[in-house]
Amino acid sequence: MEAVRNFYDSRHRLINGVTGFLIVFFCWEFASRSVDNEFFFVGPFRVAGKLLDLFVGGSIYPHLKVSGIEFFFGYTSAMFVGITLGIAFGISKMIREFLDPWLGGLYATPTVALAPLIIVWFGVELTPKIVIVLATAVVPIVLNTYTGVLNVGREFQTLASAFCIPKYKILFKILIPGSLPYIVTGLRLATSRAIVGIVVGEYFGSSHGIGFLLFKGFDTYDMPLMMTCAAILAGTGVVLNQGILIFEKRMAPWRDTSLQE
Amino acid sequence: MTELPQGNHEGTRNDSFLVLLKSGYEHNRLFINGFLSICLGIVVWEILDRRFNDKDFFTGPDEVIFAYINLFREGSIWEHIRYSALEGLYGFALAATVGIIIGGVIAFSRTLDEMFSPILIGLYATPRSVAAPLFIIWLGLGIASKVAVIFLASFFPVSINTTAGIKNVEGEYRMLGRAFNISRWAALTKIILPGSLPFLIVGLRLGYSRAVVTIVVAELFGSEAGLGYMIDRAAQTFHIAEMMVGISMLTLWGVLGNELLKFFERRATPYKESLGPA
Repeated sequence: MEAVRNFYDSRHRLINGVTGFLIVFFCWEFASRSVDNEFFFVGPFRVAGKLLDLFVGGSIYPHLKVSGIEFFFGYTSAMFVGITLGIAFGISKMIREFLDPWLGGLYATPTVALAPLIIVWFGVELTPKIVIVLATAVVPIVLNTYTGVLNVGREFQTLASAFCIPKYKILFKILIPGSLPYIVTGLRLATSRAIVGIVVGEYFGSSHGIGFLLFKGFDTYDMPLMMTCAAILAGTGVVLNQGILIFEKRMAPWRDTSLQE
Repeated sequence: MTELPQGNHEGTRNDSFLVLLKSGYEHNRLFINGFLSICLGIVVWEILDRRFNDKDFFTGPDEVIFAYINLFREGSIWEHIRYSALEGLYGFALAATVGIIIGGVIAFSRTLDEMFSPILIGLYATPRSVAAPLFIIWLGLGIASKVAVIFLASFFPVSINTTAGIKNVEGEYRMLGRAFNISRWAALTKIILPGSLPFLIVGLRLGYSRAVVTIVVAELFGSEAGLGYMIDRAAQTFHIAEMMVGISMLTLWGVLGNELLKFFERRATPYKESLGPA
């Protein structure tokens, strides 16, 4: 008894975490068994089976590829645009004061609502999806980079100018490294938005992609397919988020960023 | 000789006026610059619109304003506003209530915290609005499915911030309360609630902005009415101006609600700096 107690006390975090996960898992399975209608709700085992089917059968790879390309290009362009804009906002008081209301407005705007318009502008190929991902993912990156540059200690900049260090060096040696933890936070927050962007983009006309597959399931009442696609998208979100979070913790262990959005 | 003092006099008057102008500008520079920038942006937009002048693909601010006037005069927009506002309010109110209760319960039990916090934080990171089509099958095309999606979007920030806020209340204050043998109720209302309030309001603010943004996603995949539905329909019939009306309306809701919650935040906790992003 004592041994069990000690074991629990030393590993309580892990044990409780696993228990919580199992509780949710079995509640889900139990709910699906009591509903017992494949067109309406399916359990985790059925989703896992479907997932295995899709991967072993190989039918999912073209969809994964298309969504992956959309994500990659959209996200990297959001990264470049967002970080550049964020640094411009942080450095120049002029830009900051003149464009702040636009940024605030953009933060509150549901940019996914622009998706139909972007489809109208760019057609139905890959380009509009990339633009939609860019539009949805760029805002948190700009905001966080901007906050990061503003939060770099004044004294470093004063020191640099006292030693007559040229401006571009201040940018690359002080401002960018100093704001890196914030930039990474912005990148992390952008991932889930980018995934929503992909799904919304693929909703408006596409022939491949995980979002397309989700809506194919929707149109054909294929609940296992729908839930599997939703699980893939959600799982990707969790994996990317946790992965970037590890970087963040390494870079700035003193900051608690888990609460920010 | 007589002209010099006059000139000087003129000069000082001019100067003082300039100084006044300048100090007035310095005083309100954020506001003035913001205002100027918005005016400038609208003018540039209008010029771009005139330059390209392609009514099917692009629209100018004048047309958006006319679309506003038309939609309100004709009255068809009210139905959409009512629908979206209702689903937003229901979803957010539900998320706030349930989020505060669950976040509070979790904060008071270490076991529950360790069991469910990782799941909540993991789900917080997922793109939850991809579940919108699922909810349409479960709850139908009506308002219930939208309320559920909005609830899902804004529940997590509220509950996670409530837990963090309560856990963040300094242990010293709690011990002080215990040393003075105050009742549990008094400890809750006098120590824990005020101490966790800043986090709680930040959670509500994040939840609110998410709720407003999610209104569109929830309605996009099938709805009976609402601003998101209106935006989608307008886009499909190339009424770009009408689409802009819907989007700007939602932006306005987002900005106004956020400012209101920020105001509460300042009133409730004047001693704390604002947490989280603007």
